[in-house]
Amino acid sequence: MARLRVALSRDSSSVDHRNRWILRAIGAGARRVVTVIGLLLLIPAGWELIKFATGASNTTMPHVSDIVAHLRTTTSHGNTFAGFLFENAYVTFKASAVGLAIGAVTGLTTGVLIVRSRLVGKGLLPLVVASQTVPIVAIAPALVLWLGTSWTTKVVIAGYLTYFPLTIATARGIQAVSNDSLALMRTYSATRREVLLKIQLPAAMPMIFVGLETAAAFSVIGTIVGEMPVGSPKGLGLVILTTWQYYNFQPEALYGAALAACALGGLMVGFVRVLGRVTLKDRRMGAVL
Amino acid sequence: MPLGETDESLGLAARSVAKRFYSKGGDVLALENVMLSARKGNFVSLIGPTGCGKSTMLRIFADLIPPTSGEVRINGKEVGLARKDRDFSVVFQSPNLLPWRNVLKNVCLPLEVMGEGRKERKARAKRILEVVGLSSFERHQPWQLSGGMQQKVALARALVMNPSVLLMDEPFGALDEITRDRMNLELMSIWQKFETTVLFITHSIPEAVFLSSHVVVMSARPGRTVAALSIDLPYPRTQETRSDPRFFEFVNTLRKHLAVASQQEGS
Repeated sequence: MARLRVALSRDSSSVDHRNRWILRAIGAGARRVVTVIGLLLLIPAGWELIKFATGASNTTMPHVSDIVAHLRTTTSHGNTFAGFLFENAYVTFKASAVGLAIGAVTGLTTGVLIVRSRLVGKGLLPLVVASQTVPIVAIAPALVLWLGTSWTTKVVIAGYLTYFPLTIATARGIQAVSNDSLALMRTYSATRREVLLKIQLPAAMPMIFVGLETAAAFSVIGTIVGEMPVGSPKGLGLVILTTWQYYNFQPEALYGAALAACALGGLMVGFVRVLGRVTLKDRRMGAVL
Repeated sequence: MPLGETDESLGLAARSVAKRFYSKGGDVLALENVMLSARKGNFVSLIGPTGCGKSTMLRIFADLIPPTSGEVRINGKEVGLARKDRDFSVVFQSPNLLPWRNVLKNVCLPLEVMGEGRKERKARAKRILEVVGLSSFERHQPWQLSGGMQQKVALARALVMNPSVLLMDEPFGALDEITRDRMNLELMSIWQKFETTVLFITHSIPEAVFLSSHVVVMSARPGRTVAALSIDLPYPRTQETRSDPRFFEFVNTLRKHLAVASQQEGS
């Protein structure tokens, strides 16, 4: 009888424990959402405060309510301004996603090459660094001249900005592998390819995802910059350029477009971060390696 | 240490091995005239003061560093060939487990490189984890295990290839004394099941006496083999062995040898 009681009490306490854990997890998630929303609300609050303090006109700094209201107005195309922004954001998104992918693959390859051969590394690294010191706003018009205002140009510019963080991230991540691990692979008579695929690249993954987050933000910037110079048929860069020209009539439109660009950048980075968390879920890097 | 025997009966053999490291800051003579041999199936410990080159000698055996001069053989073969034939395995002081793989997959790693099929790999890995007593931890991640258990996984990984020679570089050096004593007992019971020749590097004289059939003493840099002692305590070694009066005699003898060896400064 006593044994039964002990068994029951142990059972109920473990259920209790699990329920408490679930509540705690929900609580933590809810708290996070509330915090983020709270911080986001600070921005329009801060905006209105600055507007009030500096006495800026409605052209320089439209009210937040006006910006939001403008999103609901109908455009000449028949949809709302918000819908119009969404369409163009989607075009920009596609181009920057492809640019990010190309930059990532190129960056990863370059990073691996730099680490593999010291000779190649010494030759490539200064070139890679130099390529990044030229400001993108100077290169973009040149690229448009060479490649035209096609979709390719945008993607190339996005890729150009993303491959550097990934090259460095990959190279650093691979260099962090301990010598003993490499020694062990040698005692198994592993080929260089096996060492790369089984040890070096998996070890570099956390660093690579860090580089990928930065690169995601840059790819959106690159694409928008690529859409601006002469104006591509669609995309946020074009919208920003156009609303900028009509700034004095409708400042709310420009700010609306800027908001859309921020949202797109945030979404790209957020997506990469979630991807990273899912891929690296079982790890805890540290002294084990 | 009988050096006149034919190479094939010796699991490990080093004759007149010297190692010089060249660098911009000046050359370092790490090893000089090292003579070391172990018959197949023997457990040989290598002790010596810090910096005497014990690890260097192990790495020469493991074909990780080439000797400057002298002969090094494993199972009578040149070490490069022994490595390709997978005659030996190494266990280092830190476990070096891959954090993105669980225990089972970590143990599978050498088998993957060897080209074993997936089913066969898993079966062999499971069997070896049973031998070392970690079956219930197959799916655990390395960071979930204690230091001693991680080293057991590293040992399992080394043994899964079925090597005839095991090279161990202070494998329990990072563990506390209680865990170390327990690991010594476990190592003995695991070792009895295989017939591996072992080269074991350690700083601890009692550990060397407890585990080995022979202990070799090295001098301070440049490392030279200055003494070899045969430990004829009976196997299997148990807790009782540690209280055997002859155990203390061996420890004391080695302590004296080591004291002399630490004072010998090289050329």
